Amino acid sequence: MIVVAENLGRWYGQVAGLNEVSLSIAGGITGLVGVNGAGKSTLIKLLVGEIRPSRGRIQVLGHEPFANRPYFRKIGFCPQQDALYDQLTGFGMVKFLLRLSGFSPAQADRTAEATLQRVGMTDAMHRRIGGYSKGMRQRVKIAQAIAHEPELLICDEPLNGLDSVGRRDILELLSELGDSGVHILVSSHVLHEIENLTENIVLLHRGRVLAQGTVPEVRDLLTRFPRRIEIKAGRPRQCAEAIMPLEHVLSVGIIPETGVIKVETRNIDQFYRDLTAIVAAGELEIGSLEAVDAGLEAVFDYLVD
Amino acid sequence: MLRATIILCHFHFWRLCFSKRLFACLAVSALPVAAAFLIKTISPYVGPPPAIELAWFLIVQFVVPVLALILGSAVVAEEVEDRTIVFLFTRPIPRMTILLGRWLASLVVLSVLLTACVLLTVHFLGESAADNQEHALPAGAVVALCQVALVGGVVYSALFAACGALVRRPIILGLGYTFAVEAFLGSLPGKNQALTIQYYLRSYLCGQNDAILARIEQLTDSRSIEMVAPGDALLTMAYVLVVALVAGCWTISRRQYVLTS
Repeated sequence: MIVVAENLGRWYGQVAGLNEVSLSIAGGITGLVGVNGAGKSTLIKLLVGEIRPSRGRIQVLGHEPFANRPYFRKIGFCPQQDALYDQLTGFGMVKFLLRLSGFSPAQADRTAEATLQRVGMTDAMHRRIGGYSKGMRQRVKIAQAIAHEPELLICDEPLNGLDSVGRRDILELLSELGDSGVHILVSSHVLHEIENLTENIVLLHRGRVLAQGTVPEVRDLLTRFPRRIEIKAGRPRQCAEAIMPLEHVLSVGIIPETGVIKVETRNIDQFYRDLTAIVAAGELEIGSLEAVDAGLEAVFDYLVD
Repeated sequence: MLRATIILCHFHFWRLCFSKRLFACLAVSALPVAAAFLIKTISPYVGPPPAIELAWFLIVQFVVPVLALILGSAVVAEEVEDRTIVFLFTRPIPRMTILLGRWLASLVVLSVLLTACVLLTVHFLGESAADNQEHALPAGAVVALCQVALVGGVVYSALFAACGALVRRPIILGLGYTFAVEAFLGSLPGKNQALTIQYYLRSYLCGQNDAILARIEQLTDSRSIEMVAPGDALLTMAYVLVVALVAGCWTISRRQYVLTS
């Protein structure tokens, strides 16, 4: 486990940023998701030792994070705030922080250059950060976080303020880092983007952990919400008639304009098996089939409801 | 620790050299120089050149604390306000090196500015005394003034750096301390002046030279104040310096800086 938290709480005066949070996060890429104010940034601040817990305890990579120097050798942090050393160049900032991480001047030069190239800043690395676009600034933040090759990369809302191309690039980079063995904790309130990056999520809401696991695992736990499926079939009416008698099917409807069949079932696995049998029997022609509420966003909505 | 302190000192020094803060410092340190220049060139004043008086009033009592405040208060508070301190806090360095490294860099800038300020002020006023031995500066006065300005700068800047580690708006606290608390205590009778840094700076300066003492006494009516020996004054200021730095280092090592997004 890279993160272990027990009864973690953090209060800002009378306001609870996090309350009674217990969780264990294994390696790989994990998304910390939740709406604004859910407690993601507080959890991140605790993870990087910016603040101490008001109660409970947290261990990351076996260390208590606050002001723990050996721990800081192992992590890279990309903060949420758009605050950089604007009068420096991107290269200068990454080099300076590498020097503080123990790199020699020559090593820091080489590593800063290679890292900035890696994040797509080859042309702009020797320009002042003050003149960078939002995307470039985000890349510099990521570069300084990964330059010293940390075991764990912690990113707080790394996609904030980026255009779609920038978001895609950052997600690709994070994915690539994850593939290369770096553990990544990434927070975001843009759920579908995290879903593109990883299936492992920790869902936070109002300072508490709502759910943790892979998206399908979490969805399967929500048994009181029937699973919804949309089917495009050659003959929608006949298809609906064939599906309706199935024991676990709760409702079937057809959208008149599109002919899409909407099914609600309380046992999706059994439904897939039954539908396969029906199709195999040659009774129906299915064009496409989609579980519409299996995504992170739908799961989150159910949980918050 | 030493390595990190040097890296941070070097980094902050170059940042300071190109910062707006330096322009503010240059403007403040130019005040006594400009005043000296005006006295020399266009003032109808005909008495002995008031180099020591100007240095005491404008440099030691005004420029030294204000420069120290501008540079010292920024040592930690600037990083907190800019929200860049998180980059430093997540590096494998002792937190106190942030304060020490940045304070040393501020000290370099402060020393250069204060020395230049004293030398230029004395240069303009001392020149007019060249023709008149009677009006010449007391021997060793320039060195003594430089020493006092530098010692004051070191102590005040450490104090304000510690304030910056402790509170979010150290400049307000620093201004309050310098121009309200010290001024108030300085005007009270008895031994209250001994609670101010200015008292020890005056004791140190006056103890250097009898001629300087006479000029300062004339100026400030300090006959009524019992001053301490220069060595004791220096020792007391050294205590203040050490206490301020230890308090600052302790605070930055333990305090949680909650940065808003």
